[in-house]
Amino acid sequence: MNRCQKTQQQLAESGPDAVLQDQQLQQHLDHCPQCSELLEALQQLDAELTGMPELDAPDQLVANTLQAVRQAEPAAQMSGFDRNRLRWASGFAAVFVAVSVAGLWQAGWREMVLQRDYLTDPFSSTASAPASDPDRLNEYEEEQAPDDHSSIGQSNRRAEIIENQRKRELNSRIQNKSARQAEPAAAPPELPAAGEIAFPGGASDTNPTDNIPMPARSVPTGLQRVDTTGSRVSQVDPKSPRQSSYIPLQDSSELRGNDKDQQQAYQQNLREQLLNSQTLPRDELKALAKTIADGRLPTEQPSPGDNPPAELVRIATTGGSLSAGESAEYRAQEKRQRDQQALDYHLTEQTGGLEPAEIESVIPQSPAEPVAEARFANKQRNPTTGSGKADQAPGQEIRRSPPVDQAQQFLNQLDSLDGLSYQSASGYWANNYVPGDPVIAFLQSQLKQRETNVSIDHSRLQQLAQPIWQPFDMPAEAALATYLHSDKSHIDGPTRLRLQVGLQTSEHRGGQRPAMNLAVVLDLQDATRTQFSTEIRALLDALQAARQTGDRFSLTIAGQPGGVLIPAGEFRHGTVAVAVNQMFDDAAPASSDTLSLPQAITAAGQDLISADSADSVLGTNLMLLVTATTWYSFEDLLQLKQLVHQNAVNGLLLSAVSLGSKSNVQIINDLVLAGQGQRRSLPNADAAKSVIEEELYTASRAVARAVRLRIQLAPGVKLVEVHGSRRLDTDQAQRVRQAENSIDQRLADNLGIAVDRGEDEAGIQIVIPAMPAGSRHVVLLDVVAEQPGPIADVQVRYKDLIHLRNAVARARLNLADQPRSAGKLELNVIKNLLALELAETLSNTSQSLVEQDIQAAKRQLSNAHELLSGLRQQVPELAVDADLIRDEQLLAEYQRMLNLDDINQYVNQRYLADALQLAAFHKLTGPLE
Amino acid sequence: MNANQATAAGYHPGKTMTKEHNPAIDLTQRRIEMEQRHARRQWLVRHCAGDQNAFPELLQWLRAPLYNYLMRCGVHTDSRDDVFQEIFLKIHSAAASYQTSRPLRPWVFSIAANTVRNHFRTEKNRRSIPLNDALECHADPAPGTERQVTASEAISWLEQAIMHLPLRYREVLVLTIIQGLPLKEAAAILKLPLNTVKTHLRRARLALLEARASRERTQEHV
Repeated sequence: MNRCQKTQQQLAESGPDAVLQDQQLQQHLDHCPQCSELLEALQQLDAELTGMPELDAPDQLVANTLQAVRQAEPAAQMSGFDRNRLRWASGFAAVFVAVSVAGLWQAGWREMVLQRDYLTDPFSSTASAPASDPDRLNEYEEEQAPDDHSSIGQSNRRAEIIENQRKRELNSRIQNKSARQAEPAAAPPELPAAGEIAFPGGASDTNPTDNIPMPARSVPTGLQRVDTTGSRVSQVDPKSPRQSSYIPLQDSSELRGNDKDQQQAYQQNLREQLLNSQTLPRDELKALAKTIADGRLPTEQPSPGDNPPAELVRIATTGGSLSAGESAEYRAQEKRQRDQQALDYHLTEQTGGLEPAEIESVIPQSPAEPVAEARFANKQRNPTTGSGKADQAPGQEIRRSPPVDQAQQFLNQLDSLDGLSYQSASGYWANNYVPGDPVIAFLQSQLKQRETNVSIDHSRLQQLAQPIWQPFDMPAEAALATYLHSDKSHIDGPTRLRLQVGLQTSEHRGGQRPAMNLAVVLDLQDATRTQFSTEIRALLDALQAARQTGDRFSLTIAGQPGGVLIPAGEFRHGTVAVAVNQMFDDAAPASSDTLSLPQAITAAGQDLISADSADSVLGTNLMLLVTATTWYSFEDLLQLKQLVHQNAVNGLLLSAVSLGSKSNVQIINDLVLAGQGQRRSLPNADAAKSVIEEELYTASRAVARAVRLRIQLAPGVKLVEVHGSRRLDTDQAQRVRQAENSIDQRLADNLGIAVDRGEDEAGIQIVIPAMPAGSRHVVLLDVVAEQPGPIADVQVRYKDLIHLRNAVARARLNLADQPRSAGKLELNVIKNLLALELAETLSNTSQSLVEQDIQAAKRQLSNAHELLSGLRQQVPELAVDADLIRDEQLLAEYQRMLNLDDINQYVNQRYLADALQLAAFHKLTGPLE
Repeated sequence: MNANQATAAGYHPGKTMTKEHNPAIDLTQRRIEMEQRHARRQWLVRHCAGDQNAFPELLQWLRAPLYNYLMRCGVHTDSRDDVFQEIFLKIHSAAASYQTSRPLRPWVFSIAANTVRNHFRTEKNRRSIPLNDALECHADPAPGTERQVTASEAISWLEQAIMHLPLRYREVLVLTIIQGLPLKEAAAILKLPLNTVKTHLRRARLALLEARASRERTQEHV
């Protein structure tokens, strides 16, 4: 062995640390590039090995293990005398074994032992079985007796017998396995007592603990058992069901059958409810019940009342950014679409056998629980909160009631079970979480550009309009955590509850961003090019400055002249400068090429796809729509959304940057939701750098993707409403599935996170494409629970981009019937509900001001103020609540402004309307950082 | 990078020369460590004496290392929970035979190593777990905020490469490099001669290096 070989051996054995201990080794490494290279490789390898994430046992497993240990026989304390006695015993045993082996050696075992090569494998299951297992030895002796007694023949025969023994054991195991697979899912009613389970210790082992019998433990009824491992199983009669003493593990894959059982029970429950229902024809009910019993999902049907296709045409009332005519057109579009939807539904149902009269009164979202349309007949969905609120006729006098009455009415309404209608707690529901700049960025920029002579202390208003603090701890060991709280601490009968599902992502974020394949699409159809020349120059300069090695940027312009201005790969300082000069130089000859926005997006998408690869990280293929357009026709918007959705399914995400203050927030929201990207606002040129940096780093700041929130209500718990969301129709749900599956596949391709989506789940499903670090989201549900016990189960499946894995976060809520005073968590749910109410009030007040109805605005603020005051008087826990006191101050401040003389001027009214709208968003999302 | 450069780069996490050596702090630190070690060794004694809090403390201390060990040794996810539970039941049953004069960790890992060996031996499922399974863990302490795609790919590749090693190499590698146990302790746990452990470790390292080189060649070829 030469010096290099010796060095390399030493390095590989002792690791790179060996160089620090050996002077000669260091000297050799200084002069030998080959060995030095090996050292470097070893250092890198060791660093990677030590840097591998440490895995922790699931809490459920640990809890079950602890429970198993506690249910086991108590560990005996061994005295020193016992130990000494054991030592003596083991000494005697060793002597005995030595003598026996010597005797057997002499008796002719030598040949057999030498011929058995399996003994050389220390891990073989039968390595020393014949010598240690008395049962097998006896069996062996009996089998070999009739044969000849020549030593070689005898040893061969013994080898054959042992081989046969191994085969029989293998067959026995296979039979056991088959028997296990054929077993019913439920655990046997009675388990053997301690000692009844056979643990003969099939293999000898040097471990003194291997022969310790497993103590028997009871298995809770209804749970499946978990199989033990080891050769012991082979000794059990394969015909009898295998019985194990292990505590069932919730996380074990074998327990998944329980979910099925639960689901079956739930389906059975549903079927009974169906059959007891008097609303639908009996034949229809039976058919639907059969569908459910067959394991198919209940048919999702569109609901003309509650689920209009208004996702496409929701009216944006963001501080009056839309003109009255535009709003009217949107409303007309919405009405037409709603009527068409109702007509389609009507026709569908006619063919399905339902009478038209029933369509008017019943919304069969689910065959199980018909929903009365009357509940939503007078509701208009609020763009801020998404929740419904009864419209008031103009000029209608509202009964003024003292504060306590307002509060009492609110509290009564919280608990009221009268006149409720229920929705099916299943299917896909709309996601209303949009990452990126909050909407308030738009409003803030609008507010700054408005003129007013009302004295407003903006900073004070911002301080007052703070969101409720949420009791969600940052997850330390995962990318996302979920929380489930209720506004009631206990229930003793049919009770109306508000459930609060919270999502909180980790603060971890990537420091470096991957190379970006970015296509900028400039949409300047509505505005003159010179109007935003400063902002666009700043944006392109910022993009140029942020460009890193591997980045691939391009610029496409929609409008006339339109086309690809800077192809990918040519986005350099000089090219950008020339292109910008051409774009804003009025003297330059204008090109006659026209490119509509859908065409521009298609062209940019094709360019992105040409450079896409399966290895690229999701989010690195990005289209950045920079738009100053305030209005798209309904058809254009529909086409755009479909195009953007298809691009997102193909891995090309779309983010939107709004120029100026007149952009339509709702259009931007719709596009960004379809494109799975972020919403940005560029109010002035100074913000360009931060906008671009935020956008480019987005891919590395997402900590959870394909977040699938599943809320399953327990049997007997009925859903009244999901605040701020609505159930999606079949087409919308299909788009959500497509988007989710595309993310799933993409992350499997480029990060190796296994594909695990594609199947619908029971319960309410909300899919959020991505959540960045440090974000939180709250979903509020209004439900009615019939009795104490389990209320809801929340499961969040997501792609953990910190630890690169499929992860699940769970939360469950059980409410007992034992009275317990409401704590801070319960109060937090009520406060969140109040925050929604307040935001809605502020938004409605803003709308009233836009419509120049000052009296209505005053009434709304006054009612809200009285509600808060009354609640503080009636609920002792809220008497000194800082959030409520702050809200009251906020309302008082706006009431003061509404009473000023100058408020009659239109300019001031619009300004205050924007300020109120901004406060509404502040209340829900918090001010901008 | 040569040896001197490696030393200069601070590769070895030994005593830093920039900090002033403070014997008082060292002494305090050592005393704290000794007390902790002593307390750990009393867990099983307390458990045998009926102390309800002792075993949970032991479980909490060992849950991550043992689960990590099972995972890295390639115990399949279907049976990993069973093996985990089995190890602790064995610890519970054998608690009386533990002698407080001996360190606890090797004793526990000895049980774990034998249980894992038995598991593979009896089930004959010495199979490589897929990459996604390797990454599908329930919770782990944060590996750091700087997650680069290349780094994660390297770790993913490494997970697979480790799973392809023979069990005897894998367990040595896991105990010494990943769990950070000294070679002597690993040898005691695995009941192998020290030189055998060294040989296994050397072969494991070289096999991983070879796998890496092969992967790089494949990538270049693609």
